[in-house]
Amino acid sequence: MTTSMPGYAGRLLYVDLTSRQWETRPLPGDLAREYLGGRGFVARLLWDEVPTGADPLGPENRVVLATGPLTGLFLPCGGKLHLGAKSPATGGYGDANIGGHLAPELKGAGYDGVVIQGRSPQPCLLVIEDDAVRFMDATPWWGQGAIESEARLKAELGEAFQIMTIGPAGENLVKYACISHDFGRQAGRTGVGAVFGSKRLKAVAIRGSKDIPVFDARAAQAEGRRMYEVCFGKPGFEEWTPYGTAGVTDWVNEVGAFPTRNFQTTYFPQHTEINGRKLKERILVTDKGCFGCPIPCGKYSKVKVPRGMAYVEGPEYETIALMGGNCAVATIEEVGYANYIADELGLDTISGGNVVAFAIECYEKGLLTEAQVGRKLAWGCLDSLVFLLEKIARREGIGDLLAEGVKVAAAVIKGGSDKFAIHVKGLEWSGYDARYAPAMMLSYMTADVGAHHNRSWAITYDVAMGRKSLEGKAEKVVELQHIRPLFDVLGLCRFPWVEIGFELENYAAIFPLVTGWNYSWQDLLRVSERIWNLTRAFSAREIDHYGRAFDYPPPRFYEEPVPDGPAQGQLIPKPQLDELLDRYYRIRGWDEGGLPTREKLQELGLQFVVDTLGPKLS
Amino acid sequence: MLLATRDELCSGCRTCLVACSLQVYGVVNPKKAALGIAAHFPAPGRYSVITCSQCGTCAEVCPLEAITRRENAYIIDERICNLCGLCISSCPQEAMFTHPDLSTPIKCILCGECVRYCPRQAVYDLHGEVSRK
Amino acid sequence: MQVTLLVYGHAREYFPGRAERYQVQLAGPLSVEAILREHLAVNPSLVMAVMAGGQRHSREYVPQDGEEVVLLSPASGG
Repeated sequence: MTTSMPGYAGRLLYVDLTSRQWETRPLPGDLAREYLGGRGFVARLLWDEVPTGADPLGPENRVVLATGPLTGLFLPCGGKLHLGAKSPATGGYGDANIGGHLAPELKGAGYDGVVIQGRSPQPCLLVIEDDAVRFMDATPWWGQGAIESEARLKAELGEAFQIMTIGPAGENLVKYACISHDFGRQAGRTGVGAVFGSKRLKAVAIRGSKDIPVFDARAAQAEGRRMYEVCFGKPGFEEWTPYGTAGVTDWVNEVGAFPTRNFQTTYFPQHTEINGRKLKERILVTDKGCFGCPIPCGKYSKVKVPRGMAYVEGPEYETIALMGGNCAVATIEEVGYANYIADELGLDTISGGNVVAFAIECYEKGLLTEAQVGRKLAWGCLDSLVFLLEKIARREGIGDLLAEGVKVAAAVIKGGSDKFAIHVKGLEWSGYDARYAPAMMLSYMTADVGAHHNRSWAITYDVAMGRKSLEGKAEKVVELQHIRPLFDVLGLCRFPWVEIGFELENYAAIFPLVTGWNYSWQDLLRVSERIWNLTRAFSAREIDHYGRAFDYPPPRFYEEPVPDGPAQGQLIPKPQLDELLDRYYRIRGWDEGGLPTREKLQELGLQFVVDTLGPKLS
Repeated sequence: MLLATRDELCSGCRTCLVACSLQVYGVVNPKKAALGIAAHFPAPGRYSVITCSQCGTCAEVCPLEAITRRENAYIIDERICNLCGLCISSCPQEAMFTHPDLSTPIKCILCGECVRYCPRQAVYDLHGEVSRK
Repeated sequence: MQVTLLVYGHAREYFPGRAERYQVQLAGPLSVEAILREHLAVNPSLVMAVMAGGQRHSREYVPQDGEEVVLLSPASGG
């Protein structure tokens, strides 16, 4: 099939699991030009397709999968698939992305995106093979582990298929269930796995054989070669890879930001037992790269603990932080084993680590009893972790409540537990305590999906510019919130930029050669700002009284000074949080209540948002 | 040159496949590459790179003698080849491939593009004439 | 003596002139930590680790005359 839009496959696939109907539609030109791809397509298609007030776990919610214009090409790290839905964790805009090889496969099958709605009468599997789309009965795989399912599906369908699966947690609608692919990579956050489960969609298998159209293939090849050569030539190109993301563990402790015992403190004395060096020396099997990646962060490992032996991809830094330090688990093997359990169950290790730690702290404080839980809970106890993760994934006993996430669990458990339910907007906090890092704190407060680090990872800015000062922090957060999500829009991983200092100009240089569109880097950032405002508006449309009140961290972070370690005594008092928010909203062109103004929306070409939100806007 | 592999260095990124299809066919399509990567997961957790060793078995078995050696590589004459597939099933390395768009099998011509752009040097030139950029 | 520092990753943004390579003249042996503080006026905490001779070291590493060392930026992920 030819396309009039180079850089794009030129089609969207719409699937209704209720009726098992599907159709393809041409990719609208204005959608491509105004939203570019990936996260942009997810944001706009959710806005258009999800009925206002839809139950996140009902058939009306959509899951949107989307590639970007730079996905699957000959350039570093074009292997990201973005996916999103109205989030069961937050009730607002939710998304996640995943590496491996799914996105190039989907684009190679001839689709820029897939919009999935409905609910299958029985567990099902969606198979996309170039122009053919079919549904298979997934009853035999229902209840099986995410990774086990992938292995079995590969055996049944063929090695050439790229497969995404959910585990029991997704099937049982755990609010932080993830989607798994390539034996250990996950679309982890915002509960996208639960949305799959609610649709009784166990897996999507994709195989594509088409060329990806490129505006000027030879010029893009030359530019792609140059981009790889720039990466190869960076000082220390070989050096970052050996530890992967686990390599940052010591540093996060050094700066007093390591989640420890449910964020009670920010320094874990045994952190050198769960760092990148220990991973490499004790458990590493092979480096594992996503599509087109010269700096593979994936560390595939083999761990042995008294409970058993497991292969696991990771543990990545986030898992080390949330299932390691935050649960006080102090060996790399145990963290790796907990990681494996979470992966098979299909649980996000970030939210999962938070929830387990929250439960242990509740137990410690007498808010949960041994009778309620079904066993004793203790910090640093792998058995406690595995017990809780399995209860959660199957919604058994206390697991049924914990499956709702810390926000809901705290509202039920009470006793002041909301002060240490570590989330924003209902999404649990990822691996950086920000009590001594105002820009990082603001990043977490204002990330559109909830307490996630990838929209703006500003802690180095705090370290460089002063960790008490608020000056320039809101500006930096806004800048990063446009740059970093742009990678999710274009279909790229941002690690070449973050890890090896690969210059952003390189992406601007290849974009016109791929698409034929003369967008400058500033033009691309403008698209990113449009999307940022749209996702905020989506949450405002779906959640009553949405706005400023949803942008605060839990009281622990403004009431409890860090008790020890490098950040001892630090917190950010509430008035300073307000000052940060005021500045942030002002820079964004939002009102004091945290909603975009009409002028800002109109300036960004979002008149349809103004028309919908109407009276909520100032 | 002659392709050789260090499988333990391969991270499965498939940059080589895209580089190959772009250099040989002028298109971005890893399914049109003259080499392959096999992933062995979840256990034992490793990759192997499948490359043509230019052993000449394909030329020996070709009923139409469409495959001949030119310098170091065996090359398919697409004017003669009728895609009977015998070379593909006979290849000891399993390093010949087909694609529905193409009227001949896909076979390595030793252009060296995979060697120049494998980030990990898992595919390399045994003779050392071509190396990673 | 002279040592060369190569800055790897996004923390380059916070180095003087955002350069990738710094040649520093030293009166005598000095740790990377001290070089960063005293010669580049950069907060040493912007460097996660030091690579020298194919090994990963802390910032306490003391480069030899003429040595090139790589400074790794902290990085998020996972």
